[in-house]
Amino acid sequence: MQPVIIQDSIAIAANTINENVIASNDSLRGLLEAPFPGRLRLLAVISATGLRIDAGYGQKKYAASCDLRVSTSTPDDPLDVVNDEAYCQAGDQMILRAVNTTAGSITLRYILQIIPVVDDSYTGGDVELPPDVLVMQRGPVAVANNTVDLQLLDGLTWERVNTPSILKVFMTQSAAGILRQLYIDQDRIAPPSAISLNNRIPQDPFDTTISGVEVPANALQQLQVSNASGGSLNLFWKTKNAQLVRN
Amino acid sequence: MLTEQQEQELLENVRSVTDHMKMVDEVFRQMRVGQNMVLAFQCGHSGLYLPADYVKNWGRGYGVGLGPHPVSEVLDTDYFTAPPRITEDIEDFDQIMHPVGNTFAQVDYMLVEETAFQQNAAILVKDDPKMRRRIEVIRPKQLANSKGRLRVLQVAWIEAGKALK
Repeated sequence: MQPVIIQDSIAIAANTINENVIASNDSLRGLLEAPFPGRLRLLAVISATGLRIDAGYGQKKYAASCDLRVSTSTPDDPLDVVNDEAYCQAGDQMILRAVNTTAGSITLRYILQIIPVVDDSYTGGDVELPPDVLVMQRGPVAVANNTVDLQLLDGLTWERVNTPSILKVFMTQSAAGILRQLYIDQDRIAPPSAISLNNRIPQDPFDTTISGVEVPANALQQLQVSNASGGSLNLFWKTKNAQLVRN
Repeated sequence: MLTEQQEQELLENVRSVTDHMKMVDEVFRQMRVGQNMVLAFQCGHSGLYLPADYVKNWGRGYGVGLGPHPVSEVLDTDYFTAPPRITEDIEDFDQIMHPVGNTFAQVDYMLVEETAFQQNAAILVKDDPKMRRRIEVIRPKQLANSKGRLRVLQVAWIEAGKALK
């Protein structure tokens, strides 16, 4: 069975929301629904800061409010993977929502692959699928001088995940001076530590700073940063919650 | 101390006697090197000037999100990508244009006249985070470019009975 591979470069108008960029391209409309149960791989970059995406299939979301790396080219595989561990059933609609908050039009370049998880004997219907990984990534986030314990996940979609999961955190900063730490509920998992200086959206695995953290269902994840560098800095972060149960 | 007028008169006298090779002008030109000059970085794509501390403070206000190595943060138009479609969500024609992106061009350190720097200084991201000022510069260029598609869309917008600002 062959995969479905969608690759496009599309301009998102200034100050607008595009509810599904895949549907905005007439040539891709026929690929909106997954033809078979599959694993989803989404890679994306943007031409300038200010565009954010959400990605989902059917009723579910696997990437929430994600900022992307700024690039003049198409996404680098695997460095610009947003999420490559989400699983859809046949017939699920692919959704890629883009929000441009700037006064200028910005290019979104993306690749969406649907890789079959069934073989040629598949005759239709739902199959048992692995749990999804849930991804959030943001940046640049301005962290003013003398900021103490800025809560990065405050109010975001997966600040609490409703299934047990394994958390991995990636971070970079625009220049030296930021320290991060992680609490799960009341437990301090990772004490204040310096992070990568790559000044871009984090890449897996280069910018890994915390990994293998067990997060009970609905536990509060507090990812905090402090800046005592003497000047304002910018931070970029990505979290991956690998769910242990499919919901 | 000579006044400017006295200096000019003296210069004319010296020139008239000796300066068949324009050597006096050359000496005076070299004397003025460094006066009213500033150090700056120049974007290799647009030619616009960036502040002298652009590389030193890379990531601290300049080039945020553009990676670890200093490059130009100046915006440029991508004429190869079509402008967004005119849909019902588009309320204002100003929302439509060819997309823009950071050039990522090389930056070079140089000495330039202060007036030249001021006239060709790039608008920095930190002074224009939502691109409003930069788009005011770029959009008229897109409309004036006959190879772009924005003018065609403008005609379509007007023919659809919609008003321009």
